[in-house]
Amino acid sequence: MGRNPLAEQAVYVIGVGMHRYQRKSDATYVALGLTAAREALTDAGIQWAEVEAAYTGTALLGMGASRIMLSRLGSTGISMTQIENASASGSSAVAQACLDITSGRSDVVLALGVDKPRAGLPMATSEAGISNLEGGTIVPFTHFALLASEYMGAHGVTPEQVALVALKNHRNGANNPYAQRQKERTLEEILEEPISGSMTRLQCCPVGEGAAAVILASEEGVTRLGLDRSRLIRVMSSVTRTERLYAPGEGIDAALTAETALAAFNEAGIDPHDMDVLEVHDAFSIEELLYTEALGLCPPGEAASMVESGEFDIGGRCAVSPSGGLLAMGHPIGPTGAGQIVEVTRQLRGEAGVRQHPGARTGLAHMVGVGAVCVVHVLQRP
Amino acid sequence: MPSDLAPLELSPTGVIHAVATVHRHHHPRPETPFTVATITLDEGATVKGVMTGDPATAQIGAHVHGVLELWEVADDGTEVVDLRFKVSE
Repeated sequence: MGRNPLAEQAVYVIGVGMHRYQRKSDATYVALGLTAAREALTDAGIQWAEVEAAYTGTALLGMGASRIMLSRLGSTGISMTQIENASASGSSAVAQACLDITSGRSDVVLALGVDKPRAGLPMATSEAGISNLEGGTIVPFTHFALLASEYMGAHGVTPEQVALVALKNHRNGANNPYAQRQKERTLEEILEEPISGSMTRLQCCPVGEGAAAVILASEEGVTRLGLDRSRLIRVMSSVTRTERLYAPGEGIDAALTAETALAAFNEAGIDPHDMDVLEVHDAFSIEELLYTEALGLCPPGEAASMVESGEFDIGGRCAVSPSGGLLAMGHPIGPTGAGQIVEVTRQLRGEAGVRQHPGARTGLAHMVGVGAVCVVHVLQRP
Repeated sequence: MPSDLAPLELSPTGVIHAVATVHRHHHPRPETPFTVATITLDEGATVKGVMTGDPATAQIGAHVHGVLELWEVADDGTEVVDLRFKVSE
């Protein structure tokens, strides 16, 4: 592993903004993205002219998404780049913004995630010349249904216990005005409508549209802009890794999460048990159990009982997916990882309103994506 | 192919490691519900495949073997088969 540039050069989140995640509408991606970008500029209290570079996380829009959108704020001629990293596209936009700042190139950078659902999405994985033995019958929800079957079998956990993840995350999402699903559900409702294995409709994330924006700045940028330091949140580490060859039977996404998070914790000099809020890639309910264990919050097989006893609730030992997570806030692909940074920032500032986890100081955002890729950011209120 | 890699033929026998019945599918075939499994082959590799036969017998720990089932008959009369796994008696 290389050095952690974020330890040598401080990078702060100075502004965050969102467009609500929602079902596909007539709104253009430009309108969605600008809503988030303007909210972030207002939140930071800065003008667009101060922004020196922009990274747009998008997987579905096609070529050249940034400039036609951001030029509405002013054609300032700054560096603009699209970032595609499957489900982690928004996370990678934030990661690139951090690198841009620590390289010394820029002091104030926008990372934006925006997408709209699209049929007939081209997937490089299906163009790689490698076909699967199962002939396309195992789509993501079935991949995770199989992991749920394995987890329940290995640890004596019931489908109802796994479903409690979705119960918690829908409860959190019901208090999040930016969430696609803003309705508290009963366990009976969560268990209705089987999709695959024990995964039901409400244990699978909705893929809609939306946008999330994060403005980051160096120490010099903060000073130059004369910002209120009490609202700054520091990015402690930003780690991206891809899958290696793991031992037979080892879950790829969980193993990749464990090693990416370990690197992120080490670089930040923070122990997993010091985490107050965590936004994890809970595209399917079982994933939250697998990843909270992989992140080191509890031993293997114990996450289900942690959820059941309320340890991962807002106000519990640590809040997991206080935004509602992908399950309730939604997973519009490009915005998702940036939206996690927005939520963690609001939580660490103490500005999360009814969703506020008391005393939150340290947080984490975690996404995995097709590849497999994994991106983890650790944030802290200085 | 690099010289240190070689094709390896594996026997289609193994044990179910995980199982799921699929209720929604983006293609008309296989018809839902159908059952898929993660199978640890006796020779070590782990594969995923579609089950055939009584889905109630497809449980974790069950021994399975591969069978070739008719998928379709092409216009020229050619029979196209596909791999399925079946719980062994």
